[in-house]
Amino acid sequence: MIKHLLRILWNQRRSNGWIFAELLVVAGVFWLMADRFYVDLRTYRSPLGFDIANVWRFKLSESEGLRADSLPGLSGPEKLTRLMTRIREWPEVEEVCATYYSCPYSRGNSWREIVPLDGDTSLTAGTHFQIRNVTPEYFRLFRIRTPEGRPVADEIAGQRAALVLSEGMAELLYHGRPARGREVRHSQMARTFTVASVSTAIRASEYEAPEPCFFQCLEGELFNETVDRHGARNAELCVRMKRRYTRDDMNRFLNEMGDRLAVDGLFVYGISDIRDFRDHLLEGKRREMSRTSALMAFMLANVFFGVIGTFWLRARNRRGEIGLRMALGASAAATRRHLYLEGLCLLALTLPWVALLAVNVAAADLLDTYRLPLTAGRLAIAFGATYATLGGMICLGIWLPVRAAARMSPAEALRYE
Amino acid sequence: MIKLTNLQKIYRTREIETVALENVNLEVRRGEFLSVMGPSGCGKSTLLNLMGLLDLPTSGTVEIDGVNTAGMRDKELAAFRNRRLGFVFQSFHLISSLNVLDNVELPLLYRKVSASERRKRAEAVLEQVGLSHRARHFPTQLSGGQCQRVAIARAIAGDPEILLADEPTGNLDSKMGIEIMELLHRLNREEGRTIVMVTHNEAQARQTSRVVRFFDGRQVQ
Repeated sequence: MIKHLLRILWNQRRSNGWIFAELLVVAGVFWLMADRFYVDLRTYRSPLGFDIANVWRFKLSESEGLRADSLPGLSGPEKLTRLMTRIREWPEVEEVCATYYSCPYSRGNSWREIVPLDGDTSLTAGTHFQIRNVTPEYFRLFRIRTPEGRPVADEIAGQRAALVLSEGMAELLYHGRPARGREVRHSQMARTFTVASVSTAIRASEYEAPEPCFFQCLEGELFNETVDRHGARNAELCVRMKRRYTRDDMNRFLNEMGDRLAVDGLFVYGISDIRDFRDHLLEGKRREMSRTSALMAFMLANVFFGVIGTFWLRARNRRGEIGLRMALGASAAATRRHLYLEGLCLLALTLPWVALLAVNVAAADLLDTYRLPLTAGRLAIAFGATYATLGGMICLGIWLPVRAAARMSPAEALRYE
Repeated sequence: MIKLTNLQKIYRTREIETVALENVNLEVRRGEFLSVMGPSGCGKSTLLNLMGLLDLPTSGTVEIDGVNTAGMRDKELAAFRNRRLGFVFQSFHLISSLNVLDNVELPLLYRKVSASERRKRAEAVLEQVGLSHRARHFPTQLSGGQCQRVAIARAIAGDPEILLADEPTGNLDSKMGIEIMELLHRLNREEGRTIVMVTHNEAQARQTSRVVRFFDGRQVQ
């Protein structure tokens, strides 16, 4: 039967050539759209590496004139530590941490060169990684885990100035060998640091791929140095509540905390749900995604009507042939199958050409391989979605006139011949 | 071989009702060459369509070789047509995108027949109608007479016992018409096929074993 269909397609190559060309263009564009959509979707649904549920960010400010308590002049690190302790003591607070430009959705973007002392430095020389300055509570607060699923907080417990590498960074430095316990050196610091743990990949947002990064735990001298350098008021103070708090709950919490939220001029002047930071940060990206989705939907609608219209006309013009085939012994079902197969054969013929296009597009690096590597699975899914959708459209285009023709008696259908 | 009992066919639209055939009782014997004659619109083609199971009667029954075809499902009717009946149409009804050989193979495509066997059978019937040298040609490259011979080859490719021919010479000049009639007679005489032919040509009808005449949907002779 397939041979018979291919013969028909070949013999009608003049008219089928145009349909083939249309399908080729449509399949190529559709494949690019499907691939883009798949990458967006996969990226969006990939784990972020952290959990922001019930986490609030406290906005800090500092005023020389405001001294709510009678403490003698404290240093910045002392003030910040004392403020964190006071908040942590509140019964409904689960955890408090401070970060510098490292809180999720903070747009922090600091890079440092890291050199492994016992690794192959030639492979990593000149490799810069994103640094996240965080107090050790950060890992418990944001539920950061190791790739094996253990809490990072447990692995770094008891270690001073611990360094936590993200999975991607550990892979770059150590190529699959265990990273924990190894020594690394910052390019800007004379001292060395021990890798205390490896976390899962951490992403900046739902639309971005994870960047190799490392967490520098701020403790002791390092904490003091960092707070002094950046200022206590610029710390990002993150608080995880034990239960879900509304804005009203949080305002009530702030009122109840009252003066305890001010330490020697350093005070909390406002709060934000960390999701608001996320929404603000992602606003532009979401708008861009909406625009892209609308464009894709428009293209899809065009393709839908174009393909359906083409095959509808093609099948409608062959009502006489349908009648003839039925007269010669084809059942209505066999006739429908024949025409569906013919349309699908035509579509299948475009596959090698679209595959060739895909190879060239991939070779020209026009695909987004940064967010999702180009794998056989990704190609299969994008091709599968493309051909399943186009196949469905073709069948729908054929189904409408063929259903009508197959309902006629063969004698009536033959009149269209 | 074919028995029509109280056959009636009415075409209905929203506005009008047309009685195409009324109370037709007709029997065609095995090996008979029957001509159906009558003026245009008298119901000859409708009769042939009903005999060929290409259309359903409004009432009455069509029995073929003792099998009552009423109540048969689409698939059964299709299989019955494929195995027992061959059709020759006035305007040939060849698929222009297929060459002669592929056109002749068509009825065998709907049977469980291997591709090589289909080809062999198609070549054999083309030989029989004297067109084996045109096997790779397309219908548009053939004369009317040759097209009709291809249509006859297609009709007999599945080796049916009954051939139904609707004005097979209607679109041909007299010389080609004679050729086609000779071919049909040969199939009837030498292979014993039962043939029912609708024709306007009195001379051709006289050459057949029996003539029935219709007028206004009724059998008058």
